[in-house]
Amino acid sequence: MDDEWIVRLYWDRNETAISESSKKYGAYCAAIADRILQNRSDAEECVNDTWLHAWNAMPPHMPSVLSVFLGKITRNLAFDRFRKLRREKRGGGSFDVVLDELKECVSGSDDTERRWAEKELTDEINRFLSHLPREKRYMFLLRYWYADSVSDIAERFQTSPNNVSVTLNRIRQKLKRYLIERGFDV
Amino acid sequence: MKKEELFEALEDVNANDVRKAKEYKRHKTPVWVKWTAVAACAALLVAAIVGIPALIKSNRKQAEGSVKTVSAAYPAPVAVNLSAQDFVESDEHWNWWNAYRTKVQASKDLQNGIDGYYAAIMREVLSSGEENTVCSPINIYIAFAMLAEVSDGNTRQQVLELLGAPDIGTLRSTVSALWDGNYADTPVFKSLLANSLWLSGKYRYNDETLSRLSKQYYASSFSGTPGSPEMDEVLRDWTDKHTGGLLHEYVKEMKLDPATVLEIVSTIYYKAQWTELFLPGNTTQEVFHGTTGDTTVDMMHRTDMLGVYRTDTFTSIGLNLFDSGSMYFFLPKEGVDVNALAADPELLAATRYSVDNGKWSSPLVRLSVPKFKASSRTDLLEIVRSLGLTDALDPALADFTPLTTDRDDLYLSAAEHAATVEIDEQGVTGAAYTALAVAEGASEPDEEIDFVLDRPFLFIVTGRDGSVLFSGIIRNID
Repeated sequence: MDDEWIVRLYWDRNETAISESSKKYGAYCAAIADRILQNRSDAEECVNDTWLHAWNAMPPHMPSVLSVFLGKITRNLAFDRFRKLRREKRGGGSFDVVLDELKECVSGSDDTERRWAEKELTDEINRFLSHLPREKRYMFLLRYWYADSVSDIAERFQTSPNNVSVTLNRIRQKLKRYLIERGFDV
Repeated sequence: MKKEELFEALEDVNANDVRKAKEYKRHKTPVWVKWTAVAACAALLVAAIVGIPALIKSNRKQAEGSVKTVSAAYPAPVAVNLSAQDFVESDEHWNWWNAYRTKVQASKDLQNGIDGYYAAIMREVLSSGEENTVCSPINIYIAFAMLAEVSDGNTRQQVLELLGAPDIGTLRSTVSALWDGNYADTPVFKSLLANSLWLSGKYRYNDETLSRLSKQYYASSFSGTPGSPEMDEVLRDWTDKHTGGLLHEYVKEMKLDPATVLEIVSTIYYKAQWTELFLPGNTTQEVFHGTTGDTTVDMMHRTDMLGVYRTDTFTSIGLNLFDSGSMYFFLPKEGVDVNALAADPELLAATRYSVDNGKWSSPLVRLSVPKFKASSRTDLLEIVRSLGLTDALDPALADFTPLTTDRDDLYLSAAEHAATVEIDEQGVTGAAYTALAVAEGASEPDEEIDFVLDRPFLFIVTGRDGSVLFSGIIRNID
């Protein structure tokens, strides 16, 4: 079923919307949650919660890219759960590595006074990404949006994992400089 | 900032990119198959300062046929040995972009001071009868700035007023910033400005003035016998070269008047690619309702969320050009004459995104743009006269003493401008390259509109700094 119809089902309050979403995007969302949580049952719960959140979000939302809209909800839920598990000293693993890589772009301190809105930060990151060559942009998003493994990315780009790591490293350095230049107290 | 915050901030990045990242697989064939001309434009302005022929009584002689040349040093092209594809994927592109961005910012800050000039020149040059009209405001600006350098007194003052510059110092820094912000020579984007001075071997020129023109305006100088076939040939070759041959139909007719004391030739050559290409497979044959009747044209199509600016008289949209500025299309509301748009006070506001006055929206636009090539030649003498430049045109009043004191009867005898603009979707194969896609947040389109350029319209091509590089009115398409 095409996305426009699925969105319409949500708007019509037709519960088929959930089964159709699950059929089409269940695996996609599960993969995102799984990479963050490293645990099948936790991931499944996140995916089930995703449909409920989607049900509550549409209407009023009318997403233009349904996959990313749903993926975003999953990513959010999984990340919340990840933090909760970490507080309870569970979880971690390869997703920690992804976060630690992002740490290179920021100072890590939380005592700096926030002088920007989150939207401004997202806008700048968007602008930064739009200036990256397409492949580098995709590489960055696969790693830090989807939390894909370096070896999966390497396969997709028909290159070596080392090459991917080096490229990601350079992008992170650039992002850091970019944000500092624009006055973000990273 | 904590790493978790950054991870969360990433959540709302451009949804299309996120989707495309997951769908992407590297293919063996490059996406940039070849350098494709999407917007290729060129313009030149010729301003001739001559003495009154009857009064010539100089004895100094120049051997016929020899043309002495002093070439200006232009910035070197970037990454000449890289293909377009390799360049955009390379760090060299990033480095170039970073350096260019700083220059663009400096020039962007000065645009407000030039807007009055842009509006006046578009109003005067673009209104016309049935013919298409095209001009390059930035090209005319730079040529007249050089005229200010060789003039003095009230003659100079009138040129400064035309250009909206309070004094010569401000004009110099403006031109310098404009030049830096609009000079680009990379494998994917060319915006090449060039100037030249054509001098007569019979006169002694002020070295200081010529040296300033050479250094600050990158003007090459050519000295010989105006009117000789040799010098004319060098003139045509130089001009053809710096306009990429796009204006050959006009250039082939160029020649120097034997009474020339100085001819300024200023050029711009511009070539850039849409950041979101039109797919050739989507191009259809459609009817264009021109002022002289209907014609069948190649109409390119694309559907996208675009910034739309709406007033009572026009609707306009802008398409981004890779590494450069944008091309804006202005469609008059039904019943509004396209000529009236040339004088519309809101024309420039529609090209300046910062203006937030409730006239902007981001609907989903079903866009139809005809492929076209339009060229025109304009005699600017009467136009600049009507804009207040009178002394330079009068041998009794004109003051060109910074150029030479050998004669006192010099005046501006000719000011001719020619420009051409061509757009297409040509040469693009496979997937579209997305680079500078405007990702204005992730707001959802709240409406859909059709934007169909199937009747006379106006366009403006801006540089990244907001400079008006080209502008025109398309009334008919052959």
